[in-house]
Amino acid sequence: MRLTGAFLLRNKLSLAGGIIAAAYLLLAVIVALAGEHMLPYNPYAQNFGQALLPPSAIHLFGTDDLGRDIFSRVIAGAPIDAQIAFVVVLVSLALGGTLGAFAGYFGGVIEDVVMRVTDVFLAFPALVLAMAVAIAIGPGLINSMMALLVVWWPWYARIARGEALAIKNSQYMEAARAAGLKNIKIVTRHVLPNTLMPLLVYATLDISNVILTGSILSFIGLGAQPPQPEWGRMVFDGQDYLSGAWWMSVLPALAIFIVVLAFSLFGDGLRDAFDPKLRRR
Amino acid sequence: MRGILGLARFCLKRVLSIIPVLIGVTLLTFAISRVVVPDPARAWAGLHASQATVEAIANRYHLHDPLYVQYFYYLRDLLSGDWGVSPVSGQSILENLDGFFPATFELAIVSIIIASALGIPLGVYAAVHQDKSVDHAARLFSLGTYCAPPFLMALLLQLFFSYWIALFPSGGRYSPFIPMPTHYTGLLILDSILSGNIEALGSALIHVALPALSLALLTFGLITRLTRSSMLEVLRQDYVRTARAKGLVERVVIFKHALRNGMTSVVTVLALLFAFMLSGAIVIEYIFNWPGIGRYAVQSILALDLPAVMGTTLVFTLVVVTVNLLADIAYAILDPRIRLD
Repeated sequence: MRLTGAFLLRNKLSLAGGIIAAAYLLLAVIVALAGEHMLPYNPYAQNFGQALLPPSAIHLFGTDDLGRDIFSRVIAGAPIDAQIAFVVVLVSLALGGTLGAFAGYFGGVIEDVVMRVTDVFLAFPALVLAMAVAIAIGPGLINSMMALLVVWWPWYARIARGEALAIKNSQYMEAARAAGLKNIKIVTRHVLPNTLMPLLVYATLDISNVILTGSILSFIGLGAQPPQPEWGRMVFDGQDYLSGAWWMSVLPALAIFIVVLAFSLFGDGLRDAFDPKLRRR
Repeated sequence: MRGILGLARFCLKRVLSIIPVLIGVTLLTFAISRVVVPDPARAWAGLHASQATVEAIANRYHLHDPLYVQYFYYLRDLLSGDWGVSPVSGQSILENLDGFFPATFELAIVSIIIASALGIPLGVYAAVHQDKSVDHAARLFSLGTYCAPPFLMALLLQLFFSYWIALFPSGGRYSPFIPMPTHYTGLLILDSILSGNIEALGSALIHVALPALSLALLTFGLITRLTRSSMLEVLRQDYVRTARAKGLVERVVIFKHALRNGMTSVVTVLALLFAFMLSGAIVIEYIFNWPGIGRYAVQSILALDLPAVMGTTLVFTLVVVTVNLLADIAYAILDPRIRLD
């Protein structure tokens, strides 16, 4: 791990991304636990007398059409996207990755069926399939998570299967089989851990993709419903006021951008650090 | 097998391999529209339809029959061009999609042109000046634009160049005050050129500018990154060293030899971009009120029009699958080694 740390330090952008990503996660956790009390304003409190005010010292990000403080809403909304991203990525990794690992290790019919099914799911553009599932099961936070899960699991199945294939033919596995270990034990004790660990690197990069797709889903109305301060939804709500009150849409959109960029940079650096070809530098 | 015969065989194999995928796609859309949806009859009849209408719809789509029977009718309807009627607008979904498709196609073409014009030179420049500050800046810039949510680009461009500085219209595809050009293709830019209508061309171009630029900014980052990496690979090849050894001017080396071979990866990338671009187009068309399939999709979602959404899902997926197939074939044409597979 010393090698990884040194490499990341050399790649300053990656480190910057990591810091911002960590700060965002910390903020999300704090807000989720502490609730709205620590915020400057109540993110749900409407105040028509204060509607559409530009950013100022009193309202850092201005107010929206219902007089709600946008800064408070952006902070309050931080845990929503984080929650969605982590749940979707971790569950996809666990379920999809396990399925792929089984497919890769056991091969034969299982592998064929799993690969065919992932082929079909992957033929759909991610957003399009998520939209279709989301509209079928209805809008909402939990439902958007489920829609994203449906779209995301095949990627992990694919990668896990490739990793499992590589491990299956390695000398390490031959030794385990020669030692007489039963298949199930081989899979759970050796194949799964070795398959799923490399997936974690991919997962870090993937968090940015889920946040991006999730925010687009919310933008078109299929995510967390108002008055929940989900960033994508806030961007949508502010569109009608763009010419007069740009801060309503632009600031939440920038928040999404910064978080996505941070996770992307960090994930990129992590991937480079684990890439054996680059390690020799 | 080399030559045309090998290419034909490759094409046939690829086309045949798509069929199971397409069947799977219809199975999945069928599952979403009939199994996942809590009340499919009502979803097709309309949320406020009378019980009688709901029953009629249920019978028309055989919703009381076992699933495999339903799927048979579903597939039959799809293939015969009956994609249903929208419960919200009352119009044939396929007709709507057909009507909106040229606008999206035109937007995509213009965006790809702009994105390539931006991305390829930047990628080449970054590759040639590898690891210098220009390279790092280019990489950060292209990553940044890839990570930006589509609505950010679109809203910022709309804000700056339409509201604050009134250079471009804030939406729409064409001015309502100028008569449309003669209809040849449905692509307004092409039609204006073909009919020699300068005024129409001007209106079409000025309307497509901001949406296409938004979409291009999203995707050019990918083009830059991949042009850069394929150029880097190619620049190290032996024939480049030979060209340099021959004493050719560096610029000739880059453009004549390295670039032509680096292009094969770029062609495949352009196709992969398409799926990414379609997702961005959904949001961007809505923001700029561009009358394409993307805007139709968002409007259908906002109206909870499930049949229309499923129609757009199918169209988007079919387009992506077709484009990927064409890219594979193009790659095989450009790189004969692939055909031996």
